[in-house]
Amino acid sequence: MTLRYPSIVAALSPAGLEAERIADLFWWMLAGAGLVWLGVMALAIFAAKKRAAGDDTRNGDWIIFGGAAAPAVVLAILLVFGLSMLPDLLAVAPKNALRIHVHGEQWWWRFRYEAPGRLPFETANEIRLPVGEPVEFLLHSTNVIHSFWIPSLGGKIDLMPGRVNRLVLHPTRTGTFQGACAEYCGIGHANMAMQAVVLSKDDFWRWLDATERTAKP
Amino acid sequence: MTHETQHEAAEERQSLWLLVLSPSIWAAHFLASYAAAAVWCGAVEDRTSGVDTMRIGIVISGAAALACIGFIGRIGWRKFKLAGGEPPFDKDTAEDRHRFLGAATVLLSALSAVAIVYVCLSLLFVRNCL
Amino acid sequence: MVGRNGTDGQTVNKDTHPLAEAPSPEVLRAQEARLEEAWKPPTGWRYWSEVNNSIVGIWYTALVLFYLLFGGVLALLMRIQLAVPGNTFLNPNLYAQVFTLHGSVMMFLFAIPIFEAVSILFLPQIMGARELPFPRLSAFGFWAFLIGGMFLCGSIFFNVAPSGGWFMYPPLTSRYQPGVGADMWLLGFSFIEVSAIAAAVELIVGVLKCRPPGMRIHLIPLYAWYVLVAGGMVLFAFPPLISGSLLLELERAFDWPFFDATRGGDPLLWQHLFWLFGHPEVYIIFLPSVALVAMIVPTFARTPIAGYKWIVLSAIGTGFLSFGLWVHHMFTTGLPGITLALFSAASQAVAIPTGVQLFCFIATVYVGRLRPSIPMLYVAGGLATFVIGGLTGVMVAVASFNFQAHDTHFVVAHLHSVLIGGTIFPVIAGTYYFFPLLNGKLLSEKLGRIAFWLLFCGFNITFLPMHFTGLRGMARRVYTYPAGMGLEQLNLVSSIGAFILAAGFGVLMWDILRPKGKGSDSPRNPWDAGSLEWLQEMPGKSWGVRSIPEIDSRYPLWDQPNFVRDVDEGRFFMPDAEEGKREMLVTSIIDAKPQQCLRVPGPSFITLISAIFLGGVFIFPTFKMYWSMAVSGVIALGCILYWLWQGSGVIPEKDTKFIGHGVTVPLYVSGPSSVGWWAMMITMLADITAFVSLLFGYFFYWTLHKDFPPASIAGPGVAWPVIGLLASLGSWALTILARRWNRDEKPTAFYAGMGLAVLLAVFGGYALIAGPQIAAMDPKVHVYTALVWLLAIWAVLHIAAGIVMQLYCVARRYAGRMTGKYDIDISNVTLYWHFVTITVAATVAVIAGFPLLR
Repeated sequence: MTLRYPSIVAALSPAGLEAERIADLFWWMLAGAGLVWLGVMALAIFAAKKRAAGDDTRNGDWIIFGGAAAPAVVLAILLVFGLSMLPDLLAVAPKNALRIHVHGEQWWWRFRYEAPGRLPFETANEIRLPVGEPVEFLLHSTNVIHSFWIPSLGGKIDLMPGRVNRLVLHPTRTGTFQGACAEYCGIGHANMAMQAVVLSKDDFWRWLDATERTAKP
Repeated sequence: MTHETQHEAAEERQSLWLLVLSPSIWAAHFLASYAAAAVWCGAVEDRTSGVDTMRIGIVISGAAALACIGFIGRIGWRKFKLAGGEPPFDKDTAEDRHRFLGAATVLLSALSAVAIVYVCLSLLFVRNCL
Repeated sequence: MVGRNGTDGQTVNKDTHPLAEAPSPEVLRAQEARLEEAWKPPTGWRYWSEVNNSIVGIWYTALVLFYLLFGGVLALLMRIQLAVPGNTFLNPNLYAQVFTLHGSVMMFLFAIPIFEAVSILFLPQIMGARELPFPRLSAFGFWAFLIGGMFLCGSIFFNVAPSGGWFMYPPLTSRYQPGVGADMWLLGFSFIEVSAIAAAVELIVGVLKCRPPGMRIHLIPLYAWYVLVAGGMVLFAFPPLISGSLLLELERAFDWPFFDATRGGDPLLWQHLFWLFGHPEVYIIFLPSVALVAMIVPTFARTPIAGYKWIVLSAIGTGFLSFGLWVHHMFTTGLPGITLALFSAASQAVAIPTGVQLFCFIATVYVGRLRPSIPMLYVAGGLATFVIGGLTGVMVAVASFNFQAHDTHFVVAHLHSVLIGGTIFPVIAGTYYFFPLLNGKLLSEKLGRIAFWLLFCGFNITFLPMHFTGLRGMARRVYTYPAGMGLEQLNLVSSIGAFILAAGFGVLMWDILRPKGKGSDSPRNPWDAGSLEWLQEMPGKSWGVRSIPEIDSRYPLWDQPNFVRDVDEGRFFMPDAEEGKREMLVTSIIDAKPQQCLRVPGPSFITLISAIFLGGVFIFPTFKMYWSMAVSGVIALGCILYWLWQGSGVIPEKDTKFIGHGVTVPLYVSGPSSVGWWAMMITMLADITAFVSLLFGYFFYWTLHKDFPPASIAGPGVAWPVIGLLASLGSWALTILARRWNRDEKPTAFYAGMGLAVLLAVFGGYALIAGPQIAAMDPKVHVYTALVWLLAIWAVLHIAAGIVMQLYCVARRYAGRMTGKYDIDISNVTLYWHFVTITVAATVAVIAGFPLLR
């Protein structure tokens, strides 16, 4: 299948609120990690090149103590900062939000739209979403474990047989975004791609009406 | 055995257990918190219902665990500061062995305490079972 | 005096000094001749019956290197396939076998066994000992490793290799992969895991009980501390996987629905059990590797390690905390946020002790004067690489970010950074450092340098791009990817990097394997190190250390005057093998006071034969050949009984032995001072952990289902399980009494007591089965019935083993190989029965008692 898809780093070119928050977190962590790596390397090189001096053992103690205390503080901050966005990422969508049931098959995606007051219908391997609105995905599998992932829009969630997992996404840009199955599910796993087409609200409801009318029961 | 070696021997058995007591307390608190979360959130019908009671429980039990760890750390500190020693405690004497085990106990207690604090911090934003 | 139950051995002068004068040259030559005679390996084909750690260690290490290369070739195959999009080099089915085997071989056949192999090879020398306490167990471990590993690696040549990923998630592996591959994984690796636990038992006992006199707990080389911690972690980490594998195999073979959601099961239980193993596993891999660095850095910094107590903190702290991380592999499975938060917290916390030890190494270099060398080059490369991996690890530990990174090539980059930086580079550093101990030769500095740069650059070129491909949307375990997503160039770069990495390994292998001429070119203690393994002459002698030294310092070769001379001239303990036997010294745990002169067995083929038949127990059921499995099991049991009968608890010709410096120690010890008792205790801790994992499963389903046990299904009732419990309690009590009657030399009471104990145990086993049987519980119907049956059968199998042990004691007494004074057999069997009682009591409490609470 030919997909026209710009060469950007999907997860870091967010088109959804969830992806945005995670991307921000990533940039901060990357900056911090870069500084730490450079710092540790510099310290190691400095230690290797140093020639004998008086206060060595005490300085050595400070290196070790600092190596314990500094990470303890930094990691605590990272923990709090990183987890602060977790409730938002896991929150339920409002009651009247669009709901799409995602069924993982081997090896394709079956999407079932259930908009309130509308007849349900299904699509395969492609979903269309309205920009600027939350949409709640309910994830089902009756075969093996799959994982639903559209990196531009947000994080992933597994389709577990025996459970119904839930993912809420808020697209913020229109466009076509690639998705994939992110849990090994058999020999067709690599081919189990999907597309999310995010449309303006008007375009989306027009499409929904048209599809609802033409869908076979 | 002479009285001195008997006393030393009895102390021997105590100190190795003391070394791992603080991390064991962390482990027990962690396991209990995880079990509480799993059982509670497994049982509730509505995952949006609050978990404040459980969070408070985890923090209070965490504080109790910290107190125990503090107590152990203090015992370790007294052994560490046993009069006469100079770091590093690598002389072949029973005293240096005590100092080493005391120091290691203090360090493990500090680490276990930090780990418990992290657990409590991690609950700052969690409101429900979602 | 025969030592027993915790007495501290004989008194020893607090600080034994070496003999003031060397014995005469004739005496020295005679001593060396006797030592040589006792320790020399057999020649010809009998060479393969050797059990001496120095020789078994070499076989083990060579085999591990083979598996490393095998796993590496599999990786190259993957990278060829992924070099361009839409490649057809490997079809999806073969690709799945390749990535499954690559991960499994590297994790189970390389990363863990390298720790075991190096420890078997060098731990005794690092602690100035002649052997490990259970040499036949190490040899057995090697043969099991050979048989199991070849079984698994060979599978791909028949196109039947496991193909569910190294972590084998059901339901894919329980219901969607017919064929033998998954069964080979479950059974084959369980066999290897059992041999890994055996190695852990040996190493823990070795570190705790087999040190030189005076090597108090705060003077132990850091390598030994790390091995102790890693060994302890193995005990608690491997059993959950063994239990989980048992569940999955039972589902595959007999349709017991542990992971089938339509019958009450849940695939998530597998993930819990697997990652309860899987996370500590990576630290079990990392800690012994960084232990090598802890031995290397002080040598080249020419100063004792800085922060010894901090490193002990790191090792123990990492060991504990690593057991609280496992759910971070399951962040995207839909678990509640509160759970994700808890495990993020622990995952961050573990970075603290992980980092502290690195700062200790840096501080050591700072305090000392660094000499450049090839080992330090690899240590530096390892540090640079590992820190990258550690930092990306901290990133993926934050649950929010994990939602994007999980199951993508970002994680592939992370895990290889920590494994290659934290294990491969340190192991190669250790290879260059310790190579002279193998045969007195040095490796080439030039080749070492070339290999390093190929490896270091190759590694970065391969794996740095994967951080990007992962975040661009490339999931894991994909045999191809579409063009136009920005993945092609980076994948091509990674593939080229993989071949550069491979070239580095090629140069390294050439340096190791090239012919190096006769004789040794390494001086004694070529690096001027301070620790005991460098006592070795070049090339080493078969007896290991010439005399067992008294230790006064962490770096005896640096600090103790005339140390090498004193050891060489037999001026310390046990400089001789007067009776021509292989002997080593057992000491107390904290202060290493001599407690026993332990005679260890010499060469024997029983290790190989036992491994073959025990292997059959795991290999036959792969092909559903259950009768063959049973026969193989019976023969294996016979082999093990023969092994124990011939070689353990041997009553010596005299009670005590003089080991020098006014010290006389017993030759035979039973009870908590003996190594055999510790081996039983440690093994049973692992066994109880496996049992607790099964109980965890029971309560896991209880949290999952509103109705558990399901009201519509009859349980085993209360009567039969309780009868079973009472009977086995009776058997246990009688065993304890029989131990006392044996000790008091009351044979009639002993035989009567044991006989009755056996009968009660048989009846107890029957009663435990009767519960589910009479209630007509069908294990295929629901996970509840399957669990109850499994728990009952587990308890009964343990009782059955206990019966075999009780009968063994009766036979030993009857044959005069066990007496009131020499009672190690029943002492260990009683210890076993304590654990059986715990198991049975817990089983009955859960299957009979818990349903009453509802």
